[in-house]
Amino acid sequence: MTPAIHLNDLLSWNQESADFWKAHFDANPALLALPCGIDNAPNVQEFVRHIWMAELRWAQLLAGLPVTARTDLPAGPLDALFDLHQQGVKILCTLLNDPSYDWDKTIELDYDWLPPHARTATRLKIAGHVLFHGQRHWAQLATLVRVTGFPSDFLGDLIFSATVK
Amino acid sequence: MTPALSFEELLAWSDESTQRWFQFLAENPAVLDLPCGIYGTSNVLGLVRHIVVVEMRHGQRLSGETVSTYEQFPGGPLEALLDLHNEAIAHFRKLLADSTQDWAAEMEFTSLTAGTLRSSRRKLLAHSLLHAVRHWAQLSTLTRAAGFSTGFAGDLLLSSALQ
Repeated sequence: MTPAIHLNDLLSWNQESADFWKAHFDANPALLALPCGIDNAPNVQEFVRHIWMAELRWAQLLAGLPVTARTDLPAGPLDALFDLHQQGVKILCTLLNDPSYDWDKTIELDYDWLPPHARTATRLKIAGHVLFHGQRHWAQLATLVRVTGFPSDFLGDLIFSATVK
Repeated sequence: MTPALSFEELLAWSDESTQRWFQFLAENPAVLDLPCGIYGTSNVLGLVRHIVVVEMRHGQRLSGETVSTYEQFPGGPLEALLDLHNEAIAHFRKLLADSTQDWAAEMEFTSLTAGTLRSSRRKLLAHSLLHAVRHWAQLSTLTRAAGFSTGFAGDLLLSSALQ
C-alpha cells in the first residue's frame, strides 16, 4: 500500500480545528476584535472570515457551483462565519462521497494573485489546499493570540487529532 | 478509492517550504535572533532547531533506529540545522521507497510535549511532514510582525510539489 493522507482525514482534522476555534471564540469573544494583519485582515474576526470564506468559495468552485462574491458573504457575527465553514464542508463531503468525481481533472485558475505556475491545478491539489489553508492560518492565529497575551492552548498538530488514525 | 495526497507529494511540499525558509534565514540572519516563544523557544534559531530535531527524531523512530535525545542535536549554526533536515528527509525518502513498510502498524512513543502517544506509522509520518509546515506558518506571523517579509507564501496551491 502506498502511504497517503486521504482527503477524508484532512476534512476530519479541519473540522476538529474549526470546532476548537469556534468554541474558543464563543468563550472569548473579545479576541475577535484583536488587531491582526495576517493576509491584511485588520482584526481577528476578519481573519476568521477569510479562513471560512475561502473554504466555501473553493468548495463551490470544485463543485462547479457559482462562486459567491466576497462582498455577498457576511462579515459576522461568528455564527454566520461558522456557517460559511459548514456550507463549505457540506459541499466537500458531497464531492468526497461521489465516486464519479474526477479528482485528477485540472482547473484553470484565472486569478492574477496566483503565479503562472499555479494557475492550472488538479481538483485534488485544490482540495488539499482548501483543507491545509485553514490549518496553516489557525497555526498563525495561535501565535498571534499567544503573543498578544491570550494563549489558546490549541494543539493543532495532526498527531493530536482524535479522528485521524 | 478515496482521494488522497501521496506522502511523496507531502514530503516535496514540506521540503520545499523548509528549503525556502532556510534560504530566507541565511539571507536575513538577524531573524534568527528575534525573540520567539513558539514551543517555548527563546528565539527563532531555537524554533528552527525544534522543527528539524522533531523531523530527525521521528525519522529515526520510523526507521527503527535509536532515537537521539533532544540535547544530542546541535543548537546551531543554521547550516548544521539544515544538515539535520536533509538527513531527516533522506530517512523519509528511504522509508517511502521501501514497499515492505507496514504503514498501518501502530506504535507507541514518547512525545516531547504530550507524554506517551500511540498512532499508526502512517499518521506519525504525516505528522512529521506537516509539523514543519505549521511551524513555518507560525514563524511567518512572527517575522512579519517584526518587519521582515519573506516574499513567499506557504500554501499548497502555490507549491510546485504537485500539479
